Amino acid sequence: MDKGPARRDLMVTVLGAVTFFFMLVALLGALVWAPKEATMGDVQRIFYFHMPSAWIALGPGFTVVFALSIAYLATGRLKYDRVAAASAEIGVVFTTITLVTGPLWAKPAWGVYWTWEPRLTTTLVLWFIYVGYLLLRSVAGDGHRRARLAAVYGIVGWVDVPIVFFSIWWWRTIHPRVLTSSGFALDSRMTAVLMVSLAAFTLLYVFLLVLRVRIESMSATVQTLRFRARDRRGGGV
Amino acid sequence: MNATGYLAAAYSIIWVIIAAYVVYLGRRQAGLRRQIEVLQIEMSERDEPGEQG
Repeated sequence: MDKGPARRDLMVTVLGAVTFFFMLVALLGALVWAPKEATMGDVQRIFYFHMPSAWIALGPGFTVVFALSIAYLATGRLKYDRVAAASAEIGVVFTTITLVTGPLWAKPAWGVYWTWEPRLTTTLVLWFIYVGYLLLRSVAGDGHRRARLAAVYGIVGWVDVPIVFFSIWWWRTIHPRVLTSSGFALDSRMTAVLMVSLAAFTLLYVFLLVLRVRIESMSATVQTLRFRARDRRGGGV
Repeated sequence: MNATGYLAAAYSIIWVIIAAYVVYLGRRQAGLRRQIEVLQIEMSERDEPGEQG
């Protein structure tokens, strides 16, 4: 009997459990261990999940789409396209979390939920770009045609990622600059909690990517089986 | 809403979004697994027509 699928299921379950544990530790760190920020008070604790969400979207999320889109165009291997699709969807989920938690922090800190300042505006544009990427995939058919179109879009769309990241240095903004040339501009305990949270979110990204890539592979299997069934029906006439 | 309210709202929304996405992925995976099983059974039944007659 093939033990491969059962072993893979077990590994995914273990990864899920480890991820959940790290997420709980990160939550505890954010709400309990991290010191209260002097100016903003408790609402600053949103930062410990807000910033890692943005990191997952900009870092692994959309940058993996960019890298694997290049890899697909260079090799023509559909497995790169499948992982890119999975990563884009996860990136959109985490950009959504960033865009929802940001205003909930902004309202008590700045007095408004939303302002058209560079970091917020470019992040919203980023969200629209990758929602567009997912929509394109849903209407572009199947196989290599869809993969080629999505790859080109994934490479061009990524241009906004460095713009989002550097926007707070390039333009005047009210968004806080946490990362400086000498590291994080934070208290040591705050930095430690942020590091735990970044690790937990990175694990979460890996876990979700494994689940999502599996769906892409299963969809491909369903399609192959349908083609085979159709071929046999056609051959039998 | 006070600061604690915003904090609670933010963390609740984060966990709800993540949990909803994991459930969505799980359901999609279960649906595809069923489709694969049905298609494989159909294929194997078509492969063995002689056994019927």
